[in-house]
Amino acid sequence: MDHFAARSDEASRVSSAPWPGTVLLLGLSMLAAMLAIVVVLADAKPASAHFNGSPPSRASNGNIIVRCFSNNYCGTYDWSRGPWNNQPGTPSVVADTSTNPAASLWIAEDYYDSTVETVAYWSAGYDPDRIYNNNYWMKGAASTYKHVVSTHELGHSLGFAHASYMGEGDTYNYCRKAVMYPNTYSATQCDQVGYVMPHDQEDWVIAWGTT
Amino acid sequence: MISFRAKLVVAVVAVILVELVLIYSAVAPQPHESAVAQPSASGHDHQGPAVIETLHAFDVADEKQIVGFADNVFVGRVEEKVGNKPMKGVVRADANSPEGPPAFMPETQFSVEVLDNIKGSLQGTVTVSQVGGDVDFQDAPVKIENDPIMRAGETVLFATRYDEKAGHHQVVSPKFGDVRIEGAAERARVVETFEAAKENQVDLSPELAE
Repeated sequence: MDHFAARSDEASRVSSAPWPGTVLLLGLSMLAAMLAIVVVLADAKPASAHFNGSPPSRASNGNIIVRCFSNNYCGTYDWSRGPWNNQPGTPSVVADTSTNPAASLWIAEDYYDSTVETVAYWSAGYDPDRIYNNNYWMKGAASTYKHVVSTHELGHSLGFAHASYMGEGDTYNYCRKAVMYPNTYSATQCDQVGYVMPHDQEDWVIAWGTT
Repeated sequence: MISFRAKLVVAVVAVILVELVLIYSAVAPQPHESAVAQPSASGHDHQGPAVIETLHAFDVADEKQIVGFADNVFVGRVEEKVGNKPMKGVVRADANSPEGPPAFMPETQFSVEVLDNIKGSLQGTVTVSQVGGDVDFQDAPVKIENDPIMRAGETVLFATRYDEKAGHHQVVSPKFGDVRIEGAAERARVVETFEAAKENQVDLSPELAE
């Protein structure tokens, strides 16, 4: 073996020798890359369901029973059972015209407050769930507007929260995606009003439905 | 004997598998237990913390719309709590009514020292009412969309409408009508933001819905 060959052989052995940090460095670099991917994916805000953490009370047959005490909007809410009941799976939202004490949702008496921008409140935590309608905004509104409100509020009683935080600059989000969008002004700006829309349907399927 | 190259491949594959598991656990859809949890039977037997959602008449995150709807927009310092009563207009049924137990939406009133007027010209100390507050059936106060109940000493940007019957200035929107301010720099920034919004305020009324 000549001298140069010997040195070359030595270099080869050195370069291919199992350096203790090689695997560790490789692993760490991959870990960093993977973490970067996780950060990017986490920031991508994938479409997700929005639930309010208050599953509705239900009758023994699984239905949600609605009693209406409103002087003005019982017909409106009765109409809004339709879009939700057209979704696959259970439960059904059922109107109760008797005095069934097992009702799981009350459309409470209406109120009037011209000093707040709130169109309606939905509340849970004190059975049954209740909906309060503000006549200041609702009384003279078009039926389409009232239907948007009633469908939205019934959606809360099915367990759905607002579909989007406000201020994301997506004024027309409502038109395209969700009746659970939290303001009705957008609804007045829509060229086409929908009721239970794609985003709502995704949430429904996750929470209740089968396809 | 296993070669170094084979060991390296095994190590790399192992790292990849571990990372894939970590990534999956981080980004995979989580079950929505709140929605699919067993619903309560209809016995009207649960009285948990109140959950309240509000449907807004307009985009309350837009200062131009908030200022347009409000009679007064001002910065004030909360002095003390001066009242607590049910939300006006909501029927407070008696125990024997078919409407059941009383409505529980409370309002809380505070005396507030006016510091800066942005819209309107309030002077001295005024009474401001906020939806939310103490109720008798739970320890924690009812908060509307997690809007904290005001505390003495806080500096707040208020957007209010005057309620003649009640004699107080009503916060027009939870969170967006009572914006907490920390420090002089933030106060200056908030005032500047709402002054600018006032210049382009959007007139809002129920006619929008007609």
